[in-house]
Amino acid sequence: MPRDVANHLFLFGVAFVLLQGLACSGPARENDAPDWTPASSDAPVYPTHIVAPPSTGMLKTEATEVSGDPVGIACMTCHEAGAGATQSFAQRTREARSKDSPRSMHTEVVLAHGNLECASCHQTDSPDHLHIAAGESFSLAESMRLCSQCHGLIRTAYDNGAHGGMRGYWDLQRGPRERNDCIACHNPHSPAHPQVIPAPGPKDKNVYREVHEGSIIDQRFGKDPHE
Amino acid sequence: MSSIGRRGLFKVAGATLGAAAFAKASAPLVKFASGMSMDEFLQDHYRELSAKDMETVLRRLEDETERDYGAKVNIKDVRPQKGVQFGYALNLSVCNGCRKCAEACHHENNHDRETNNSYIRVFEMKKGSLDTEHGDAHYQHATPKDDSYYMPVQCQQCDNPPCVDVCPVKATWKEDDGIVVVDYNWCIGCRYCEAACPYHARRFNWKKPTIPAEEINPNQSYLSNRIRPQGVVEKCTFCLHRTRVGKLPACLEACPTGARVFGNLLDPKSEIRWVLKNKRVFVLKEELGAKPRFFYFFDA
Repeated sequence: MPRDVANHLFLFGVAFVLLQGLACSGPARENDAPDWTPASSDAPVYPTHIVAPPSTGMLKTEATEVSGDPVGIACMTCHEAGAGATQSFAQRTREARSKDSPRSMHTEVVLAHGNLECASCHQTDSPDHLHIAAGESFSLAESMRLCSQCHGLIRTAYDNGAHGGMRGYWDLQRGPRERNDCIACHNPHSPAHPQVIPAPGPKDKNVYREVHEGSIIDQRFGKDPHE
Repeated sequence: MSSIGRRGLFKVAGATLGAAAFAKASAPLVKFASGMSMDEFLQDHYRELSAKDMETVLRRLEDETERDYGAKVNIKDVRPQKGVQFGYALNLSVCNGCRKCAEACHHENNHDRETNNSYIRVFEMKKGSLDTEHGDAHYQHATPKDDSYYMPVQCQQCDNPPCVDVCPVKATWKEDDGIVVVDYNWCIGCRYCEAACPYHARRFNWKKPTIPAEEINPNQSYLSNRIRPQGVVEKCTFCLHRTRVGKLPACLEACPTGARVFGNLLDPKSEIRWVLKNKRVFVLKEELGAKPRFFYFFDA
């Protein structure tokens, strides 16, 4: 009887060793991920695109498309000046005003940005051009220069990647990056952000119970407003 | 009455009862293991898998995902880069509590749809206090509220991680680029790590995650966002399947306020280094000595 047991144990042992041998097949794997090294030059390999909203320089009117979206018109449709213009801006606005109030021409613009007026930022003779305090004028596409003359610290943070949304690669040696410009998020005419409805929260079992606010418990265990 | 005595009868009855009891007692184990293939049962620890074995494991996991979820996915073994130490910073002055980061995490990391799980909890905090005990992660109203600020909390990728210390089977460890990971196939689900984490950053899969096939993110890796089995612990991995190939993490890309800053701590020109140098950053629960890699700051 003990000999049988010993034989069995021996066979088990042999089988175990064989199985172990089968399980360990091949050498440990290498890490072939490329090393990170500092960029050899200051210019990154891949670019960072700064994107502006596509509607820049378009004004939403009270008229709506079939889709329900407001009809957009370019500033220079009305404000065109210079040699090619048949009418001066003053004549055009007078004409427009006789038909409609100037407010209806600029329904989108609610000016609530400190004490700024239209002409603080826009060139009066060509409103799709901006000007900084020193007098230099540039196109709407360069609006970030205008923002930066007052919001310098934010611009510094932006330039160092610590302000503003971005997408793409942290490592510009491996891929490009896309960033928002100022007006992609901030309405330059009324920059204060409205409140937002947050994405739904966790539905975990260990719901935090605020004992001082019974109503919150009802809200949480009752109907979910997001469903 | 001669062939089987009283003693013999007791022996047979005892053996029968014993066998029945054993079968009954081991039933949950048999049931539990029924969904587990022999290959999975015999699989080595992540760090001990050979290249050939890893390949087999990855293909098996892809097949299992297709079988269980009806989705074709691509699971890779994405390794850390030398010369990279990841760090994260978050600007509490601009976070508006919109939970877009938590939502992006939910989708990127193939979380269970029913629990709306995410590696990020956003706490609504009263201004003037840093006491997370009184933070509310379940707010359901328009944000930001005037008297509140919002503090997203996820894995802090500590340099002295208490979760790693307590794991009895070494199923969780800190990788060379600073990311704390879990081998979901080695984890025994004891949840010690979940209890040890001072930041409540780990999650336990109470049930098999449910995700519609068309919503599954097919870009997966072994250590991060592949669909986790039931009964194991999971955590934020700084989206290592993205960040180890140079991309930004999903939570940062989703942030509409730009509150999040991510990068390589070893690169003196990186954004994260600029923040550490120029902002007054702090870490949560510094006194515990876990040495987080996740920094918070306020503007000005």
